[in-house]
Amino acid sequence: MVIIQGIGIAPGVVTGKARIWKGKPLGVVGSGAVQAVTTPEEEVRRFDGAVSQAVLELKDLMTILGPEDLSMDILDTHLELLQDPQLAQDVSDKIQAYNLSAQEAFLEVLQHYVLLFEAMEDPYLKARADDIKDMGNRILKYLQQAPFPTQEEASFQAGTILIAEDLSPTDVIKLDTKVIAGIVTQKGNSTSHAFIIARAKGIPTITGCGSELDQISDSDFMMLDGGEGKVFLYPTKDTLDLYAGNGQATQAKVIQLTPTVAVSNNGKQIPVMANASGLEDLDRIWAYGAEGIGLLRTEWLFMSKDRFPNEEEQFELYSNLALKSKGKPLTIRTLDIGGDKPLPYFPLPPETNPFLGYRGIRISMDYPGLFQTQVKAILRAAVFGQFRILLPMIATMEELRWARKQVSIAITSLQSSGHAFESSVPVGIMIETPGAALIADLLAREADFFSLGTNDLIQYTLAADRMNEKVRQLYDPFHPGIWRLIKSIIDQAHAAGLKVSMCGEMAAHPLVTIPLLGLGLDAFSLNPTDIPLIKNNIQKTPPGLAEKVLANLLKMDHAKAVQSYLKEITT
Amino acid sequence: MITKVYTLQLPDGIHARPATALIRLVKQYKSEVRIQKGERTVLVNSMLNILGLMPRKGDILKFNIVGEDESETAEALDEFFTQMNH
Repeated sequence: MVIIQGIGIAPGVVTGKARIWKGKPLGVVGSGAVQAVTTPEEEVRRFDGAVSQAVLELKDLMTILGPEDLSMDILDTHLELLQDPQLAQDVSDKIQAYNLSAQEAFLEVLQHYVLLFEAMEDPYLKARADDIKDMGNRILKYLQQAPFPTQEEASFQAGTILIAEDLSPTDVIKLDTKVIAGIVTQKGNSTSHAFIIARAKGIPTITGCGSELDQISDSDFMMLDGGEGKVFLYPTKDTLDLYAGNGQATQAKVIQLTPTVAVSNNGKQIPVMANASGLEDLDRIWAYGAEGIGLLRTEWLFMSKDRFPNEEEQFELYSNLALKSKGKPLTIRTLDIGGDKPLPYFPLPPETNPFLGYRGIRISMDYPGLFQTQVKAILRAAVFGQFRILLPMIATMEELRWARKQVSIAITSLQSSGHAFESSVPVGIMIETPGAALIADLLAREADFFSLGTNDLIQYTLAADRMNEKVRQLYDPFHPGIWRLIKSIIDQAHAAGLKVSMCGEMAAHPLVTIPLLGLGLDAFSLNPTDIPLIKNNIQKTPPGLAEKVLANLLKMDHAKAVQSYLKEITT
Repeated sequence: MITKVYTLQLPDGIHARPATALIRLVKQYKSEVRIQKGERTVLVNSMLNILGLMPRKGDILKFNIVGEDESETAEALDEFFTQMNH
């Protein structure tokens, strides 16, 4: 087995067969057969013709995808780029001035803009160079005699893992999620539109693997862990077993084992809920047996627009969600953006350390109007369902108090609006900063519930960036400090009568289900595909075992010991 | 000609989607609209040019609007920037 460490872009664990993507490279294609130059007028006409054809093709694609597709805004931008009058002018000037063919002139102009954007300091604008290349390839396709082969796209088999140097947004948009199980690329920028779409489509994706990908050949069996950014080439049985139940191959079996009912341990009902990013996830979620949504991220609702969605738009979305959820609890996290996940129409200044920067509730407090709009929409939708409001990135008491005050302001303002609304929506907080963890007893007096955001909590506590390959091994959920911290949070919450759920990736780790039960965790919130496995783990844990395992674990002094102990008792 | 001056409030300027929205807005009118930032002036019909201006927070953007429906165009721009800057 070979393990290649890349950067996880879109989470999920899948197995499949490699397919080396021989589609067009993202770099500007072209040159090749240089065509004879006719007259400058004819060349300009040829260019205009190619643009028209590319526009038609793109519009066809947009019609097929439909207006609700998450890629629509990105494609709208591409449509404007294709029809950019400055581009047409530059190409026409070049053709006339140097007697170039349409293709040569366009390649030169394209190169100019690509270099211009690549040289920009702003990482967002830099990433737009990829959009320009994508636009260029659309036009070049019609300037060259031989169109690009497209049969490759149709011939993918189910369970294909695409291996590519890089992918363009268009490539990813066209991928059929029924057959493409995962994506691995050599290079890529995490703000690239291609990856934003991959995440939206729920395709586990890993980038930044570099030349290590060269050792992979077509049809090689492999497994991806998109969350951890790990590529396993010819995974061993042990590795597969460790991840068992997460992979698509074993998924069907596990679903059969655990019917979609609530599970209990020691007689205590443990709801296993889902993390969700949008409406389209919902059918999937219930199919996997979720007993509610433990974390509904609302970033996607905002990212799929070209401006902030207003109260009516949000209300409609949330109430639809409520109707589909049939009375199951819905935990909706207020807008959680930051330097690493900015909104296109609300760009945030680049920060040297966005994870310690301007994000989550910190941004909300500067823009109370945005927060009000979202809270009002939630309170109105709560007439139709069991909503709970979850606040991201809480580190201080003041932040919680500010948010609660905003909720009362929203209630007052709704009272005079004439809309129906629910005023008793619980307000809980993410515990994802060590600061919040250390004052959990104080926060518990004024919050209605806690949700453990372990991804950030672990990286903040251990001071290890998961994206940094030099230190990622220090990011370790088995570290004894993490167990002490979580124990203390849960104990303090329980002392105040609060319930605690866990929505980070740690909750889905099959090795830690038992000790988490020992800590008295009240609910799990997982990616839908992980639900059957964890339900199964909860149900089959014999009475008394969880407490014993936890007691032993808490005596251990390093992560490796914890991990091997848990492996031993799990197998 | 109508001239409108806005101070850009968005923390990191105008990016692809707002630029797309701006181009489409201006397309609905007959007037020609130019943005001036410092010494540079570009027509509001080109994504490449607008992004190339790199309009950032705090930038003063001067819009020159010329055409038979310039007052309607100016009004629409006002509304656009009020929304953007909320």
